Order: sequence, then C-alpha cells, then structure tokens
Amino acid sequence: MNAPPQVSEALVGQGITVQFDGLRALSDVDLVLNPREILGLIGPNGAGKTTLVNVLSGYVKPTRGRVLLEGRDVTGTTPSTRVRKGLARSFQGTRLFRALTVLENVEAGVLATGVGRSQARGRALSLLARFGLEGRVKQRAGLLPAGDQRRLGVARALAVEPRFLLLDEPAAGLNEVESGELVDTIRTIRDEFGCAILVIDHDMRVIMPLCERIQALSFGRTIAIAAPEAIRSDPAVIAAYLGSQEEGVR
Amino acid sequence: MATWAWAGGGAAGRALALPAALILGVAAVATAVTAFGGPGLSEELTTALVFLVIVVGLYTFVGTSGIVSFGHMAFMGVGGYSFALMTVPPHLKGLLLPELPAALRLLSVQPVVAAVVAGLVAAGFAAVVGWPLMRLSPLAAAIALFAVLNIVFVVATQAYGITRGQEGMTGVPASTSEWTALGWAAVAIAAAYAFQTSRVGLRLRCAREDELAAQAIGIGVVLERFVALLVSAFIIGVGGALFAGLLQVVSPGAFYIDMTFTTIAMLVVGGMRSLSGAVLGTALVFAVQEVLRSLENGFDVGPLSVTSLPGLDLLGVAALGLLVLMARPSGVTGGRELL
Repeated sequence: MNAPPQVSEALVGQGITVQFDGLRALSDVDLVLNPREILGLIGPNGAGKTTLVNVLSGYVKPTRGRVLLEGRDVTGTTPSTRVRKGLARSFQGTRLFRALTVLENVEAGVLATGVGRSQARGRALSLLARFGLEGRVKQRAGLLPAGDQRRLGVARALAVEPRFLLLDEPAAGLNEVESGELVDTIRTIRDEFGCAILVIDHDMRVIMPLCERIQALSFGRTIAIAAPEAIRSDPAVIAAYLGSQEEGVR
Repeated sequence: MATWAWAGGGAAGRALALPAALILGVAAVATAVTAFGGPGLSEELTTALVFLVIVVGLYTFVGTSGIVSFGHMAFMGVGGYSFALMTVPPHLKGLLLPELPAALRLLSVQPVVAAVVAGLVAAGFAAVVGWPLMRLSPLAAAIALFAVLNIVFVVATQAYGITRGQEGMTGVPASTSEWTALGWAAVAIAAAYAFQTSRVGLRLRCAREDELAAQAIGIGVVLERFVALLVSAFIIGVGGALFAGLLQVVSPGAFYIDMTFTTIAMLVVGGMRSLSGAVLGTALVFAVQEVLRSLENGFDVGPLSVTSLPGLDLLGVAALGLLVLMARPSGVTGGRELL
C-alpha cells in the first residue's frame, strides 16, 4: 500500500477546495486513486465525501485545485468527456432511468464505448448476468426491488468500461446479506475488469473488508489515509465519528 | 446462455412487431372507414391520417426528449408554404404573387417529390434555429420554440410578397388522397420507431429520465436533442405539405395556436412517452372532435332542441385533455408501448 503513486497512471485530485456561498465544503484535499486499487472514502455526514466525488467526476467545479486523469488535466471538462477518458461513477440513490428497461439502462452505457447496437446488447446482457439480473432484463428499472436497483446502478456505471470507477454509497439501504454480496461483487469487478475503484460508504462492514487503503474526511479536510487496521485505531478518525454521534468505527 | 439466446434471437422479430402492428391497425381502420363509411367520411379519414403524421412527428421530439414543445407547428408552416411554392402552377403564382422571384415562380414540382422536399426544408429550418435552442434547459427550450412559432406566424402574415399574408396561398393542387396520407402515416410510424430504438434515441430517452445520470454514461444531450429535432421537423414538415395538399390552401392560422393545442392534446391523451400513445391519442381525440363538430349546428335530445353550440369541439377536446391529465397523467397508454 505504500508504493509511491505513479501520478501519470492514477486519478489524482490536487489541493481540491470547494466553496459554496461562504460554506467551505472541501479544504485543500488531495486524493490519489491508483490503478487497480480499491480505496475507501469515509467520514461523518457533511464531511465532503460526495462533493469530492462530484469534483473528480466533473459535476462540481472546484474553487481551487485540479483533477488529473492519467496525467492529463481534466479540471474544466464535462462529466461526459471524462467518461470517454475512462472515468465513471454511480450515484447515491442510484438515479436509474426508471421508465426504461433494465437492459436499456445498461445498453445505453455500453454505447458510450463506441460499439454498435447489437454488440452493445450482447455486452449488456453478459454484464447483467454477471450481476444476477439476467432474469429481469425486460422489466422497467423503476419497478425493481431496492437490492436489484443498487446492483443495476453499479452495472450501468461499469458498462462504460471505466479504468476508474467511483461508487457513491453503493450499499445504502441494503441488508447485511445483500451488502455482503455487493462487497464480493465489487471485489471481483476489480479483479475481472482491472479498474480502480473508489467506494464511499458509512458502513464499516462494507468498507473494512473491501478496501486496501482508506481516506477519512472530516469537515472538508483529510484527517487520515491508512490501511483499514490502522484507520480503525486512528485517534482522529475515532474522534470525528464519536463527535458526530454517528455509528462508531467497528 | 439459454436466456441470452432467447433475448438476442427474438430481438429482430420483436423489434418489428410494434411498428408493424401500429401500421396494420391504422390501415385496417382506414380500410374499414372507406368500405363502410361512404364517400362522406373520406375527407375526415384523410384529415385524421394527416393529423397522425403530424402528431407522430411531434412525438419523435417530445416523447424521446421529454421537452414539451409548444412551437413545433412552425415546422408544419414551413413545410406547408414550401409545398405550396413548389406545386402551385406557375401561371397562378404569377397572378397571386407578382413580386415572387422568377426562379420560385417558375418552380413546378411533382407533389410527391415536393412533400419530401418540404420535409427537408422544415428540417433545414430546424437545424438553423435548433442548434442554439437545444443547449437550453428543457423548460427554456419549450418556451423558445414557442417564440419560433410566433416568428414564423408573423412572417407568414406579413411577408405578403411570398405568402399572400392572411389571405393565404390558394391554388395548391389537390394532391393528398387518403392513400397518400396512409402511406405517409406508415412512413412516419416506421421512422419514429426506428429513431426511438436507435443509438441516439435510446440515449435521448435516458437523458429524458435523468439528465445527470445520463451525463455519467457519456451522454452530452445537446447533440441527441438536435438530431431528434431534425427528424421530427422533417415528419411534421411533410405533414404540413399533406395538409396543404388536402385543403388546397395554406394560411397562417392553419398552423398556429389551435393546431398546437390540438396536437399536444392528442399526445397528452394517448400518452406522450410512447409511440402507441401518439397513434391512439390521435385517433381518440380526432373521433371525439368529429362527433362534437357534427353536434355543433344543433341537435335534439328528446323534446329538447339545442340550436347551435359553436366551439363545442375545442371545448370537448379541452375537457378530454383535462380529464386525462387528472385521472391518468401519463395518458391512456400510461407511457408504455402496446407490445
């Protein structure tokens, strides 16, 4: 985990500061997501986790700082430009295309890779099978049970074949069994697809077994970057979680 | 693997099932009306089929993009006037529009070809206005398109030398039979279906559902909306040409507020997010409108005699639209396809 980051191959946020009308959401935060690693991003509510993902994916322009994607400065580019350069994300609350079918949701993502219509369908079907959704391809996405919606959200993000995948609370609202399955799926995604994954989650049962490194934010600042075992006993992390009266670090 | 083979193998067959069923359904109704309705209904049938072309064209943009355009009848106007300028006999044009440039005056094009060219002119006009407008937010784009309609209306009423203003351009040859209209309705349905299932159409429907999430899979939206606008302007432009060939006259009022209201009502009643909805809504609203129009001049209810109720048809369409909006906001089809 202590390998020196090869900036030219990584997704890098440098000195990211985001100011919303006097409120400072992020202060001078650095983040490095190395190729093929799984990095956890934790912190109490309002720590700035989602804002950081929004900056990295192009949905929020940082007040200061830059975003480098494999060495190229992409700070001013749109989300769709970054998708074409290998960066994808999922959303809190999934934001599925609810009236479209499960298959269409993923197919539309595969089309971003530039393949033709029939090839896109084939790839979408095999990706859905990978997520155990092959029996639901013709259903409307909005009518799926919560667990399937989460998995479809991840499958859709993966459909664009990213080298860097940002997952914003993929396990929110899932029960213990479902979130355990999701952890397994995310790990195999990395192994099979060879992409780097950034995971935001509150639930330490998701983050701890999944991530190789964890970065902790509090009040818009990085308070720790370490391996899971070290994060668990980090005084600043414990204080941040206890201070916010969130669930403790287990 | 078995499930994939099923989904992949049947895809080609199923892909054609919906447009085929809609076209056959429309053709069956048209044949039945011709066979049993007598010659009196022939003009109504043709009018209904021309409306179908226009509403399917409107659906191609509104249904796939989610932008409820109040300005698309501008493309009908452009198509209608283009058609008239190409088909009114040159000697008549010389009398009606003495200021017309010689090149336009001498122009004489076969109606079938002229209808296609009228669609292309409408699409070209859409390309000019659409490029800046498709960058706007959906609501702003809807209002801006309405502004475009008003500009086209004002030009049509004031550019007397080309349009004859409020008097309208007469002398358009009667060129829209029920079979011409039926043929174009079939083309419109097939084109709308091909577009909505195409790469661009699918990605546009994603953006309709959730624009932010669409950006996250590389959909920039502007280009997709622009393509939809061109396709729908072409279909509506052809519709305008067919309308001109049916009424044998083009005037500014024909493509303005009433037309905008009626076509949007047809889309709303059927369900604006499915092609089946566009087809069913046109049929339903047109039928209600015709029944009410026949009652407009007075009717008897037992001993009571109602003398005259002008505007009854528009009232009825408005009431039907309101009823659907309140009871079933996504239309009688619920925004789903029948197949």
